[in-house]
Amino acid sequence: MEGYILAACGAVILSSLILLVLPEGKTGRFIGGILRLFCLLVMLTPLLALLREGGEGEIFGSAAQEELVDDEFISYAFSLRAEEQERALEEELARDGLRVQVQIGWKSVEYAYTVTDVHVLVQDFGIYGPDEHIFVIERLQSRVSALFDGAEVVVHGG
Amino acid sequence: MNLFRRIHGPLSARPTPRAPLWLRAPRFRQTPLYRRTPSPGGATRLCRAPRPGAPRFRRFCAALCALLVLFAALLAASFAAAEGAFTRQGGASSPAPASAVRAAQEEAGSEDEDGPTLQGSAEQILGALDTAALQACLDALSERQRELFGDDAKDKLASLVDGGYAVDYTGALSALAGLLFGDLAALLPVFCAVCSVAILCGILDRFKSSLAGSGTARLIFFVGYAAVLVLILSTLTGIVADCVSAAGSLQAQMQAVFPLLLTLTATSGGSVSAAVYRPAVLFLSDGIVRIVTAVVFPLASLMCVMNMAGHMSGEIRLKNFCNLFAGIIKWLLGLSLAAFTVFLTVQGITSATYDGLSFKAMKFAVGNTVPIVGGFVGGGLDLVAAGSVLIKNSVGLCGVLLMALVLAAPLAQLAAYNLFLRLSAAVTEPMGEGNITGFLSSLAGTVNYFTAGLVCTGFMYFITVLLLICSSGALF
Repeated sequence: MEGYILAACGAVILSSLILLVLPEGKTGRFIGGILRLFCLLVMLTPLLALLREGGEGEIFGSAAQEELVDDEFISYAFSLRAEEQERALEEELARDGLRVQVQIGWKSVEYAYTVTDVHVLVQDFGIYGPDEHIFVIERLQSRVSALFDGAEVVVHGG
Repeated sequence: MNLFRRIHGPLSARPTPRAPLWLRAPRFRQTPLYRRTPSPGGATRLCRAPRPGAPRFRRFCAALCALLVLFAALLAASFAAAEGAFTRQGGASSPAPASAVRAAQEEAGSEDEDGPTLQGSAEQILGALDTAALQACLDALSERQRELFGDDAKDKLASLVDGGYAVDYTGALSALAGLLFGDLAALLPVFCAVCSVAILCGILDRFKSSLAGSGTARLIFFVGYAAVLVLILSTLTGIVADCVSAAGSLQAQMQAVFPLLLTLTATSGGSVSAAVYRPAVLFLSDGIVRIVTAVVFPLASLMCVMNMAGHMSGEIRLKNFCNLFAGIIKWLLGLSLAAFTVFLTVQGITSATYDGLSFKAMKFAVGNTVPIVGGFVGGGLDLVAAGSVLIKNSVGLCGVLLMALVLAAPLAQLAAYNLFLRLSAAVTEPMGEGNITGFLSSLAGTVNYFTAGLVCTGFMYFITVLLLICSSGALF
């Protein structure tokens, strides 16, 4: 495009300057006609090539596929979210008298936070006796499975 | 023998006839009005005798006029250079200090000591965010622009998240007015010279039949037109360079701001929005800017040159070529703006709605199906997302402010230049040279395409940032 612009500008300005100093008469008219034809050719010929390139889709070239999303930051933010969920689950279960350690596994699927697995280790059953440990584990498993739909939930006592 | 000779005598003795009175007075006529000149073929023809000393006197007058015109042009150019083109004036008061607001917030004790807070979450996320590209855009600004915006990108984002930053509208408007009037004052000497040269050429054109022949008249016009061209081009090249530089700065800003916005959109729960906006921002930062810098601006520059050449000589007629290029520019910008804006807005709204509904459905399910732990865990999910949303909105606002800072100067220059071109064309129309007036008027129309290119790019950038900011509104 820049070469075309420069060529067109040069042809037009040069023709204008020459036409100013041309003598009057048949010779002047003849030279003026040649110069006008020259300007027309200079302007039209690259346009045809430009249209051909545009038809082939090469006018803009291949745009670089840049990485527009910071994957590291997304991993960091999702890990923060997983930590928050672990903390919240541990605190809530602590109100029921259970001391648990929660570990949430996650992955980023199309930049969406997806929980893949949840491991709950019950460290202290609190007021629940040894006979009720299995019952507590089953209840915990069903509730955490309902909470994290689609994730693999594993609950075991320590 | 001849009877006349017999009566009056030979020729030598004859008294010379006396010329009539109107020919006799020496101060009216020294030479005869007509004389006989030989023509090819042996015959003679009668033609008007030239006045004594006429060619020399005519040439002297023509040379004097040309010298006067050239001297006026050179004087105006040196005056404009001494004034210093485009000195920026006007002051803008800096935005209201945020320290008082921030101190009040700290005193109020917005931090909850029991657990993580929104502010803490936002600060933690902001600390991990890579703002190097944004800081590079900030460093590329001029000193005056950095005074208005700030020096550090993270500090600015933190102040926006805290809500401590307040836009000083009065200061911004006064800065804009100072910018505009500064440009007007800088361009005033140039356009005074242009008007004077055009009017002088017009006056000389009216008296050309008595002062000079057609060749000399054309020479005078060419000298005057060249003087006007030198004055106009000296300012136009600077303005076009500023426009191209502004478009490049906008592209750099897009490449810095959009990755941050998309990343924060994804971390705030807008995964579908991030996927939808990703190709759009790529097309905007690469395709649209390339259309403007590689097609619109060069074609507008070519139209300026065609206007100059077309009005220089009546032999070269390029008006329809100018119309062709103008049509191409209008179609390109119009189609890009309409298609991009419409498609992006529709897609963005639908994707944001989908993200919002998915988020709320998940929260509803958590809150209602798990009676003991559901509510609290559902609430705990919001902090990271909310912090991401706050920072995303701050980054978007930073992007908009930076765009306004970068576009203000070239748009003010273009507005002032356009105003002066139209004013000059209006002033020189009654008395000035017709070609120069036509050139000024057509150039004023061509300069608008530079404005259109910058405004379209800025508008599409603004719309995209706005949609990205609003995409998380459906989540809460």
